[in-house]
Amino acid sequence: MDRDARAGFAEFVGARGQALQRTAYLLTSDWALAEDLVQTSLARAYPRWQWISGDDPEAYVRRVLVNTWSSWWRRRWRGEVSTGELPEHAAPDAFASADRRGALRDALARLPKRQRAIVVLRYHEDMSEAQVADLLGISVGTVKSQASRALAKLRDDAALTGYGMALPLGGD
Amino acid sequence: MTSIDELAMRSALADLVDNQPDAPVDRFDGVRRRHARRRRMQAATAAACAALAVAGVGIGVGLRPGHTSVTPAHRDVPSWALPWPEHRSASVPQPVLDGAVRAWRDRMYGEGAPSMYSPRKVIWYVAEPGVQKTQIAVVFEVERDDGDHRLVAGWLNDPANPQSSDNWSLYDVGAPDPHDRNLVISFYLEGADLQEPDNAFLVLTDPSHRTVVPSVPGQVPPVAQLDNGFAILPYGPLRHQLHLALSSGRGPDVPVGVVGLADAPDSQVPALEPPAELVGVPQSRMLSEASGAGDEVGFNESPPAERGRTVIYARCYGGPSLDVTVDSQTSAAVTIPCDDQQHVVDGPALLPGGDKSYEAHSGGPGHSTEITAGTLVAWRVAVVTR
Repeated sequence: MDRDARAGFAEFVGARGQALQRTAYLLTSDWALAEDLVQTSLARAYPRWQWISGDDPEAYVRRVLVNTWSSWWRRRWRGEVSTGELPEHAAPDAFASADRRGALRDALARLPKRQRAIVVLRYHEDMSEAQVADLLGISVGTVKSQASRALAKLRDDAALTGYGMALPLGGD
Repeated sequence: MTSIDELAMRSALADLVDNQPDAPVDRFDGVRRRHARRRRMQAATAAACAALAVAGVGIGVGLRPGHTSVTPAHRDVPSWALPWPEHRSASVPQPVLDGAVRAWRDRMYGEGAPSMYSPRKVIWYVAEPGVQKTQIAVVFEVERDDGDHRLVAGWLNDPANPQSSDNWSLYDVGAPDPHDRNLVISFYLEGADLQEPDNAFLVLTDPSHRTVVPSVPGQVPPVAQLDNGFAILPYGPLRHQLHLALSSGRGPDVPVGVVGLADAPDSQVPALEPPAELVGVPQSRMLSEASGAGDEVGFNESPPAERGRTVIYARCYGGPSLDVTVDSQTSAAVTIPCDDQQHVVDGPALLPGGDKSYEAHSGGPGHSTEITAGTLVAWRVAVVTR
């Protein structure tokens, strides 16, 4: 990789690393694991940067990230390499928000992996159904049906009852 | 689905990431270290696999008969080759086929290998894309320049980059007897499928066989249709090896053994369903945690300040037992019976300053956990400090 490409990659990591970590966190429910996932995905994109940087590098990295996460059920060691400190920020409403987030985190973890990926890509990344379908290699119809099922599960999940009061999940 | 659900979901997810920590200052360095380590490991893997088979990762594939061009059955091939039709998708370009042959030679015999390993003739049987467009399955036979005949089977993990040998996972075995009518070539297409834990396998046989019957103990076997002797079949979670039988619709089924290539044991191992989650593991004292199958080493680059004795939580099935070794202290390895029950046992003390034997590979200090288990043993293991 030449100097310009390396600089471009470093710039991308600096600019988009946090956004990728947020996506990774919604997939893993663990900030340290999310950082691990981001760095693993970026490391896989690094040797190909010269070929992908001119196109849509973030889409490529996001695809690697989701595929890497989906393979982690079999071969992942927690805390393998997380560089840097990851301080938690204390929220003003620490107890209430922690309960609410914990409930949603648990509910997300109970979703099948594909449904969870669809929820994160569709409603956090704000990707279109077609974009999600392309990234996951499934049909648009599957994205629609799986998203619908995931939302129904989250709405019906007992752990979300408190959360649903704050955010009207399932309300018509 | 109501839009209010979607709005609520967006708000909920935004709320969930609201407490994101600051970016680590050395994220870019961490990425570069991982890249360097990955390259070292790939080089080590290639060297280790030079003798026989290579097992890798990829993504599950589905049969797409509508896209396949099939050459006539019993085509004219050399006497050493299988007279079976070729299943090649029109969407698979020639560079992919060229890349497969080049990757076979480079990965099996090393770049710059003697010319005796060069392919004199190549007979293609399968070149089919996967359902997720991120994998292409291949099967071909090669006559090497020294006259030896090899069967090569595997898959490409990144169809956009077939030139890179690293993107190929290939098995290389001796060419089978072309006159064996009940010969079946099969192997698992291992991979990062989003349907967890999933299995898909390729079957290629004489086109006279119409169906194949995959089975595991205790389950009613399904019957799968073959398309001119070929199929790529999703199967789903597995706790055992999958057995195959051929069925022509006339007479009894003919058992042909387990899925996988006879001379490539790695190809016979499915992605095993992980054992149930471990319960009661103290997350705050977690050193490492993983699920997997067979041998595995995890290296935790947590601060080497971690010290003291360890406790091991483990659950496994598929074999008599597994051994857990912490910081390469083999004399203090802990044996866990594989009865699909959770076991909590005392482990050895961590080495002060971490496990030096893995430091060189990982780029920093840390502690290692090594699992030694049979290839068909699935496990979950967590190591915590006391």
